[in-house]
Amino acid sequence: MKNFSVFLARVMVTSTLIAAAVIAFGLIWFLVTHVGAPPGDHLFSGEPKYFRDPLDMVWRALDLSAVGHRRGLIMIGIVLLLLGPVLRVGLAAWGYWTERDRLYAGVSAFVFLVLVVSFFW
Amino acid sequence: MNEPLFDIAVACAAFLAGVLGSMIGLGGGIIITPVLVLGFGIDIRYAMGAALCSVIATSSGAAAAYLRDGISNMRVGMFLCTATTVGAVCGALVASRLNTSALSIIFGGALLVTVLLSVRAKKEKPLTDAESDPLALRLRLNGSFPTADGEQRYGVAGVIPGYLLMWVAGLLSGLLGIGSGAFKVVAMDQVMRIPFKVTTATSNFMIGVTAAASVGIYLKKGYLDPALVAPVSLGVLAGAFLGARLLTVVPVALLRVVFLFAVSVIAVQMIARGLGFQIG
Repeated sequence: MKNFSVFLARVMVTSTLIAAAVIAFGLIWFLVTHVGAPPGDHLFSGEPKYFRDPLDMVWRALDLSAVGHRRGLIMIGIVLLLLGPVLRVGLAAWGYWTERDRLYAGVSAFVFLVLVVSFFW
Repeated sequence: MNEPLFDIAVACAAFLAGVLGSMIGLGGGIIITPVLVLGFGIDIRYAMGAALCSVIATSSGAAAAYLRDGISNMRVGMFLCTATTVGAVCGALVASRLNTSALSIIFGGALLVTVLLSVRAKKEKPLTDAESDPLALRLRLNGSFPTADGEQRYGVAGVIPGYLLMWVAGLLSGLLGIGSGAFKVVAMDQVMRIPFKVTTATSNFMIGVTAAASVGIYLKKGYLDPALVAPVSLGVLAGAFLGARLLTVVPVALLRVVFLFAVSVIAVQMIARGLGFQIG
């Protein structure tokens, strides 16, 4: 399990750094395109639909013509950040399974399921 | 103030929250939310969403270091995550039904409890296998961790009460957008009697997984504003990284007293705000 822990640690750091890089890039892009715009966080309106549906969000961000929606890239970074723990738990389930530890493969699979279901509630 | 300036100010505040949070051991998430609400006038739901994302980022970094050192107990962490993730989903669903005043009051209360929990004394030696909960043996929760004198075995007590407390910790995490590390540590350290070092390491792993369970719901409810999440999570992440390194050079004991007091004042302000008063 020791080697697997080291592997898991590497996955955690890498996924976090990639996500942080995407968010940073998206933030810079967003700021550059919004110089002079008023901030919009004081009143809660809920985010528009395309920021609440992960799939829709990806399409939106890839649509380069939508200049007003540059926030989409940040959103992809955020989703990457959030997928990090999901990936980790999934890998742990797989790791336990290969060690024939049925009990903890099951426990990890349950946690994985809760995470996936919450994401697509 | 325009958007870029506003975001830079938020990022700086988040950076400071990250430094302080990691130095006094509260975590950046629970500090940044009141700062955003009281200092920047941001809606508490957006603040919670941004804080929760920052919690995932910092917990991943910290947990990775412990995991590599072989200190955290993956079986305990995964087992208790079945309680915290379910609790977190419940908490996030409840949060979406509460108004901002109720959220402010509950947040302030949880912040006060967190401060109280973090000033309590640490203690005693690890349990043996014979002293541990029979259920812990069946679940193979007992483990060992490396110390200067070789591997130290430890047992785990109070599995069921610990599990129930973890559900509550998860609930608070989802309800308030915090890591609820202090509550997780109490459940493992005080109730399950796991050595403190293992407890902190394992709770770091659990914090990220727990937060991930409620963040999907926050996303659906529209609590994640990219223009706020980005500066907050990057700021807290960078701040926590620096804070962990400053720990060795700065007189932490005095800082702790000063900032725990400051955080208590902030907690009271959050409660006052929820009740409709404006102070300070």
